[in-house]
Amino acid sequence: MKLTDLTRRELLLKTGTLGLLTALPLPLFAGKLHPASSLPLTENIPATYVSAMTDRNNQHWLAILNNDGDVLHQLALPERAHQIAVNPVRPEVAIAARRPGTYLIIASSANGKLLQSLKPEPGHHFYGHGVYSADGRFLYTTENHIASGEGRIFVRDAESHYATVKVFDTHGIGPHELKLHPNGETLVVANGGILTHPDKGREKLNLSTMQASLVYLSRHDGTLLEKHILPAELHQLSIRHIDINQQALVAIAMQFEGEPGINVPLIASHTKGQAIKTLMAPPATNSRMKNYCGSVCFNQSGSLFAVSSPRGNLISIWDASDGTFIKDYRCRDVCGISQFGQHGFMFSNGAGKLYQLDNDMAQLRPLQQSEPPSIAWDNHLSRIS
Amino acid sequence: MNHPKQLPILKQLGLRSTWVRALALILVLVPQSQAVSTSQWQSFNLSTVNQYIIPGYQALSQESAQLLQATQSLCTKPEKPEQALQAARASFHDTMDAWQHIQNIQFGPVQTLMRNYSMQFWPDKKNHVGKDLAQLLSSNDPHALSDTEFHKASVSIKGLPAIERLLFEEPETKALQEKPFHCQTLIRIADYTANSAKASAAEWQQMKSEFAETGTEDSYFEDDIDAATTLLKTLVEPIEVIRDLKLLRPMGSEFGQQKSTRLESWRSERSLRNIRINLESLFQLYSGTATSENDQHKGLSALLDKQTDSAIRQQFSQIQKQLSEITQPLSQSIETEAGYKALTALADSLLGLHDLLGNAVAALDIHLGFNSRDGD
Repeated sequence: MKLTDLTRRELLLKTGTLGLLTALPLPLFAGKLHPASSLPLTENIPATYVSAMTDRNNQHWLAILNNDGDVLHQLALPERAHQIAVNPVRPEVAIAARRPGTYLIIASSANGKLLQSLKPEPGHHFYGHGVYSADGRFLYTTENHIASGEGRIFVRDAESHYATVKVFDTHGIGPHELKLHPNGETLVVANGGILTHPDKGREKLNLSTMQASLVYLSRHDGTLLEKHILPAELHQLSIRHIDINQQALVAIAMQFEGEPGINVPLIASHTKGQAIKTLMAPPATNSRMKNYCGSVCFNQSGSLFAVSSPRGNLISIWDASDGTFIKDYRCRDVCGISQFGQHGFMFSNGAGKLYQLDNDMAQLRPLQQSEPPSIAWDNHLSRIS
Repeated sequence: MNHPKQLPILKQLGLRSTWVRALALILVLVPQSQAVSTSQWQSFNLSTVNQYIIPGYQALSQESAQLLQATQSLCTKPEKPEQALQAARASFHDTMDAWQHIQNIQFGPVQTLMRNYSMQFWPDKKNHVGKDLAQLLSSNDPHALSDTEFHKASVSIKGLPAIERLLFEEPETKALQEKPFHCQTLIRIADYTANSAKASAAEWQQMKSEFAETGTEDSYFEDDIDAATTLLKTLVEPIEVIRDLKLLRPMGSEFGQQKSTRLESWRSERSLRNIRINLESLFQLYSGTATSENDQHKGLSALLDKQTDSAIRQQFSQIQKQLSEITQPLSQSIETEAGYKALTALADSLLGLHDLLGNAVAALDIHLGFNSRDGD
């Protein structure tokens, strides 16, 4: 993999056009030089993954990758992004800026080109997460109503230039990741419980009283179907990242905001209609997680889920059927997780590397990159196809 | 994709948009990164571990063992109690010196059993040390100091901040001579600290082999660059931690908002000494301890180009100079306008050093990634 972001940034700086730009064609591809006659190469290679990335000049990008981790297309972003929502029908992705996010960008997943750039509605900001309806028509993003600090879900219509059509209450503070239930009708939302205000940057304002929750909402009118909280002694556990499999099991990755040095469960699972079930890793693994999990993802078959602990340089694999811990792997600064094959996973890290865990789970295999990466993958990796 | 219309920027630069010209331009603009070979990194890794990390833990192990002895002397009805207290305080300072020297190492054996948190629970935003220690002392229950019970106790009362309170703060200091349980508690904490330090030093002998052989299936490190990155993180990241936690947090948003009790080790009046030792240690990690050509430990410095190296050395000297110009304890200088200004300037210099080092390692194709406090 060879990226040309540095050079591109310098070019942009020189011409005074740095900022939001459509993707430039990449003259260098996969670390090899190609004569003009052999171009375009990228048209034939299917885009597979999408992630935000940051180069070493601190410029943020959207990156569209193939299965080998080569960047096929990239698009400059005005500020740091977080997760990329993939439209399941239309060839486009949505990038809601990282907390306190002030942009929503729609880009083509085929060529990385900018399709639309939006701002949050007045008095709101994004939290970096979004999800589409199964028919690809509606985009749901978690947002903060700044004045009240209450969580909101904005519904935007992809068929009407992403005009806002509805706004729901998330029934909690600091909503973060949200997923579409396999019934296609329900949204599952992680309310992190942490109050922030853009005037105070990213400072956490209510750690002593915080209370996270997991809620199920109707995607049509926002009706609250279920709300679950953790036991009182775990009120400083923030439910932030979730995934859901075809059997509607929700896997939860949490972050503990209490004092360091206390061993609390950082993983949980949930089935609609029941209480949240906390899952404890073996003590040595649990303490290596440093009270912080960054991402969670089921494999395609839904049999396993993987959790990343970037501060602890750790990946843990869990059995979906009974919530038992299976195995852990050391992986520096790992955060992004996506699916690979039927049962495996793909991981991305802050050192610009990608790793595959094959179906047999035997070994975490770094993807062979022809050049040392000069970027950091941001926290989430999504699969396009 | 190779259509000229798609290269407006190159056109603006007055270039004909042929790929040859574009590529030539790109190759010129890419910063020259110096190639450091895998074997050079391995040598850097091993010498850093052998000559910087391991001696650091050995020193901590020795000093904390002496601190344990000093607390035992203090607690066996000494003929000259004041002298024994001074000796224990001196020993506390030596132990804290040794800890501050390797406080930047936040991986490996020090993470086992949460030793890093127990050695120094700081910053203590909710006064856990004070509350938990007071609760233990008022229990007056020797059973709470037994191996099994103390093992279960909160990390807040298992290390240097709790010892500092007992040795430097009234009424605890006075109570040491009057209440046997106070003294037993002090000895118990000193014992726990000494054991943690001894175990960390011993386990590093094992950890050392992880730097000699990377990349096998059960290796700790994926390759030599992964190992080097871990070591270089202990050089670059702590500078931000020192700036953010040891300076900016106590300083508050502006002069008038400072809180001197947010300073590290303010009770033993060594907030500044901690920062000085941190910087001396980081400079040692950067420059190596080699005194001759044959000596292996030449640090990151030897892998950089002269210009970068000299800029970093200059920044280290600048910081050292700024530190030496602060003559009062930090808890006093932070309260004066001039002192506050000097600390602001010091914080800026630390940021400068952080950026210089970050860029220098990036030019060697080492990617530290997001810092370990990053997240969302």
